[in-house]
Amino acid sequence: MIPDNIQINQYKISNSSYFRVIFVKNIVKALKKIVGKNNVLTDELILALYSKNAIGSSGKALCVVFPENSTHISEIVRLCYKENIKIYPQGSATELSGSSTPHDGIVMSFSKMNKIEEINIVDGYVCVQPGVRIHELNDVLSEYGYMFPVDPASGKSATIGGAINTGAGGLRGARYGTMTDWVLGLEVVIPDENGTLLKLGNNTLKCRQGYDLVRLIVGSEGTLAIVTRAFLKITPAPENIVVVTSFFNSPEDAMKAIGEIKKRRMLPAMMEFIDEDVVRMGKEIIDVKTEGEGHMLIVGQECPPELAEKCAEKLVNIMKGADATYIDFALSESEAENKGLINLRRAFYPLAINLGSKEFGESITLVLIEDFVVPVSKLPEAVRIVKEAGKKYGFMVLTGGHVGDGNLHPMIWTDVENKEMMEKAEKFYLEIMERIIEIGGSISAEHGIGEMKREGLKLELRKRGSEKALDIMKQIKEVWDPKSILNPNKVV
Amino acid sequence: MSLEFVLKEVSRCSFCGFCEHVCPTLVRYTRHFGPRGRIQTILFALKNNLATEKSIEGLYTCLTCNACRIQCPGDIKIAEVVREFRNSLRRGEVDIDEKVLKEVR
Repeated sequence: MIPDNIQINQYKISNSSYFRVIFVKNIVKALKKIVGKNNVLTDELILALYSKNAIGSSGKALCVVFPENSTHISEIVRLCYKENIKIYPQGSATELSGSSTPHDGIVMSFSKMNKIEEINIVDGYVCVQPGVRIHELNDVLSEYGYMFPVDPASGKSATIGGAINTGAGGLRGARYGTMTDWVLGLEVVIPDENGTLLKLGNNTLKCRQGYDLVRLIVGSEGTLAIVTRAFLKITPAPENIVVVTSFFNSPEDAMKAIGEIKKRRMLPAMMEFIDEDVVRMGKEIIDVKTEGEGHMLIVGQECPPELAEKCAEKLVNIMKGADATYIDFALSESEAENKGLINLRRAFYPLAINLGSKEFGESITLVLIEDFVVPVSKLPEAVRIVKEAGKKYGFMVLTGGHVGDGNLHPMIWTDVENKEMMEKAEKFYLEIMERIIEIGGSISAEHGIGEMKREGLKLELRKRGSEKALDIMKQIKEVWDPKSILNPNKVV
Repeated sequence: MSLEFVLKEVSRCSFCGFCEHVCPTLVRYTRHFGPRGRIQTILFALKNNLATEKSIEGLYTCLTCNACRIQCPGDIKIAEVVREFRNSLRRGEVDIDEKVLKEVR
């Protein structure tokens, strides 16, 4: 139970450091009563590790609390609601929009809520706690020949709770969609005076339960409710995947190939693009071996092993028809690994880190990964837009992404300690967001809004004449979280 | 290896967290017992002269098994960096609060 005898509020009105210390001390005491003394951390440098993220933003946490079950979460929320303390839910903090950064509140970490509670093949779902990592879930599911198909690049570290709240996608998005498509039901604690636990949706494959609150929580970035348990749909893992890599003189040629794949009624599990700069420098700097040059397209098509040759032949012919300058293929994933066909795609992020650290030496290098989506047919134009903006602001831009669903991740690197460069980076991103919206795209495909893209969201809605949508979103936030204690000032 | 090299290596950490899932000492719970936390602890110490007994404790649980290095997109030599930083602490080459270091020495 919440220790009612602990007086916290009386100290809060003062900003003096003495009263602040007492205030924090009392919060910690109350939290320890709920979750136990080993489940609250207060060491300042350890708090700093929970106040950072992968895009270089950082905040300040009062303490980190590790609940072990939904009752703990409910009691923490009750306490925080009563005392007006902000809560920042956090998975593994691999997000790229600033959605997990705390600002003067408690960080709620789910690393002790990491159990896969049920695997039900016949009914087609798993029940997991939010701290389970996506990769771990897939490890366990592989024993059954099944998988959870949402695979963000950070899947080995990313947690289910984080992926739900980010609305994560990944390499297989064109075929399997994003988290929105795979969450059947959620148990959540809402920020009210009782820390009420709600069961939304169901563990069934279909469910019409009035307004779809499950899909409202997916992608809400921890601003509406705290996910304590998730029922996720699962699917059989493919028997075999044929991989074809091809190189083109222009993004337009690569686009021809993508168009033809779609016209031939193929739906690859993976369709990845990297631009000619990534190919050239990947070969030079991190020694990835291939004879191909120019823009690269990697296609992974699911098909039974007995049809692999036919499938590969079909894809190779499509690539030839689109004027590919070099083509290689593998009849299985293991053959693709042996041939290193996907190595250049994997080199995308390391290459930026490598180039950044070469350029900035001992300064802290920040690799900024943009995330937008355009209609697939507009991909060549989108590539041109980011390259032009890069030239204008003096950045080398590496472009790659999941082109099967029109999602690109242009990447630049900056020196965190160079203010002028950081300002230029911001202008660069604002400009490409504006132009991407103009060609019919959207500013975020799978990374979310967080703190970084709040201006972008406003811009997109304004350009579409839908500012009212932002008002509606703000009202939704207020209904779920009237005191604005849950991950405030994010998204809207 | 020198402290300059250590600083150059840790400055490349982008906090992506890709290294954490393989660390045998992270035990999934608190970040300072994992490679990402250790790199940042060293960064705090070398850039800002900041360290606490608890954060330093994380460095001393590292097995230097190198599992994390394979995962690191920046190929940071995490185990070597931790080993060298611990040696530098012992030799008194890092300028941080004596009280924090009393156990280390």
